[in-house]
Amino acid sequence: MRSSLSYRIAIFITVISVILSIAYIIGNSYPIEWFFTIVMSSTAMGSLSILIYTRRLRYLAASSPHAAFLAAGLGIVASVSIGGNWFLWTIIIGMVLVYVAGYMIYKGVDPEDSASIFVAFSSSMGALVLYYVLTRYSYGVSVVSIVIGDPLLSSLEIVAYSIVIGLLSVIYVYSVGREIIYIGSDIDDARLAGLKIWLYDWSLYTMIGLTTIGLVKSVGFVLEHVYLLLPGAIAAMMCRGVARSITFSILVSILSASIGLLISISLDLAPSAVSGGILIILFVISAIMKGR
Amino acid sequence: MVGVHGETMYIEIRNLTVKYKDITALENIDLRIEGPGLIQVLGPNGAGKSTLLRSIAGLVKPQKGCVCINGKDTTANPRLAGRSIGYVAQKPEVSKYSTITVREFLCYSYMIRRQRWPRPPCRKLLSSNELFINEDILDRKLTELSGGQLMKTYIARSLMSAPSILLLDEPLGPMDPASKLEFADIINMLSKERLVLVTSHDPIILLEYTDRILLLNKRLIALGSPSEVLREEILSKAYGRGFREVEYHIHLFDSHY
Repeated sequence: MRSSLSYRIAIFITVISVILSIAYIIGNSYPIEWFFTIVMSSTAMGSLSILIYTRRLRYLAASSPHAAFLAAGLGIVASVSIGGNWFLWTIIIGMVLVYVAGYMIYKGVDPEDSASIFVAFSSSMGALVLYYVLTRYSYGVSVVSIVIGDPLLSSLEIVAYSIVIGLLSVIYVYSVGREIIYIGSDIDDARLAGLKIWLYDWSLYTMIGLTTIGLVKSVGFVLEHVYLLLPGAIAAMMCRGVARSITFSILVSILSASIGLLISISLDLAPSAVSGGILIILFVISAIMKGR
Repeated sequence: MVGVHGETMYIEIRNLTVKYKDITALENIDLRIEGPGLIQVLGPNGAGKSTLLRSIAGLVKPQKGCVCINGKDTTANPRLAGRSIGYVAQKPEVSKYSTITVREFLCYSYMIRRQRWPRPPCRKLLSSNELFINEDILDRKLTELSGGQLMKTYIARSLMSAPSILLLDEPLGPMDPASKLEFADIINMLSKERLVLVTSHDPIILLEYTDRILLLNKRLIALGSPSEVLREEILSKAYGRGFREVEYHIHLFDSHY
């Protein structure tokens, strides 16, 4: 009953926040792309969040932004020294890194161990590469946005990517989420039922990778952790049932993104950080409500 | 060899050896078990009871040997084994962030096996008495269940595929004493129409319903009726000195288990 009420309240508040946010942007003649970038980025991560928890991939999800951090730096180096598109280089390098981390977990390496090794490697290498970029190339703004994110500076390419990956994540979660959650609940029976576990895991690694790597510049690798992990944790506390918790997780993401955008434009603050802060407040409220 | 619904139900294992790295879990197991009926799988810790059940379910790749279910070679082939087998692991674990409800868990298990549309409704199955799940827990999350309720839910889940063979790995472990007795009756009922293999550290609770006991200690020590196997000279081969024979034995289901 309480779960149903909080679900309805979440729908209502999210709709209001989206309307307010769009009205404010249009009313003040700001580019509407800002809204789509931050809301769709947040939607992509929020929709995957509940699957990450149920499939016990928190360590991979925590490692993935670090892969994005390193890949973004290497992408700059590759595009300058070899040529080609930075964004494409970043995606290719980042996906290779995420698959390596995912393969380690799949082959039975303890997720905590593999995440520790992977985060240590990608963080130190990423810092090394970005220092190299900062001291040798004129990419200062790009480097700052990779770290703290700036959806308001996103190119049309990234705006389009955010919309596509946001929609793709929602479609993905509603189409195969049930199977992935079942695998997370009883992997032995999933095998007996004939589900191809590797295929579902690979598809989830791919979605996590495409989301975190492709959106690193708009969200920033620091706040990707928050966007990826908190909506699922909030939904898990507040909801019963798979479909409802997936929807709740997406609603929480849209709510935090749209309110965050509104506040950040009004007060001239970093949008990703404000949205992340709202997610943290929602998490604390949920934990208090559930007595945790 | 044929159940009341007419399904054949037998397991044939030939020369089965399973190793985990350098540790031998099972060695040269040869046996044939037919159902319906209840088989208790006994043996000390590390005897290979769980490995035997997982091998039968096709979840373990043996170093050598093969497993046949109802005449089909299902060695390391869970998909094929899963057509006849329902399996419940020891101490099922659910992520504390899982939001799946009991109803969804049972329905999903049913639906993922039936990819063709239209899928028959799951609701009918959930109202079936044979699932022995109380209506009031259907909408609870798996994370909100007690150990006993969770084990019951997993066993109910294993019935969703209508298996002729059930493999239950220490199902009575997480239950309180009252539930153990209730559950012994349920296992007895299930074994009337199925071949049920149950691993256990304590054979007493299910003893009156047990048709045969399979005694293991990496190798097959004995397979026979309880009176044939529960004898000092047989048990000592598996447990060494790790058992006591007591005349007029009374087993107490105390609440401090």
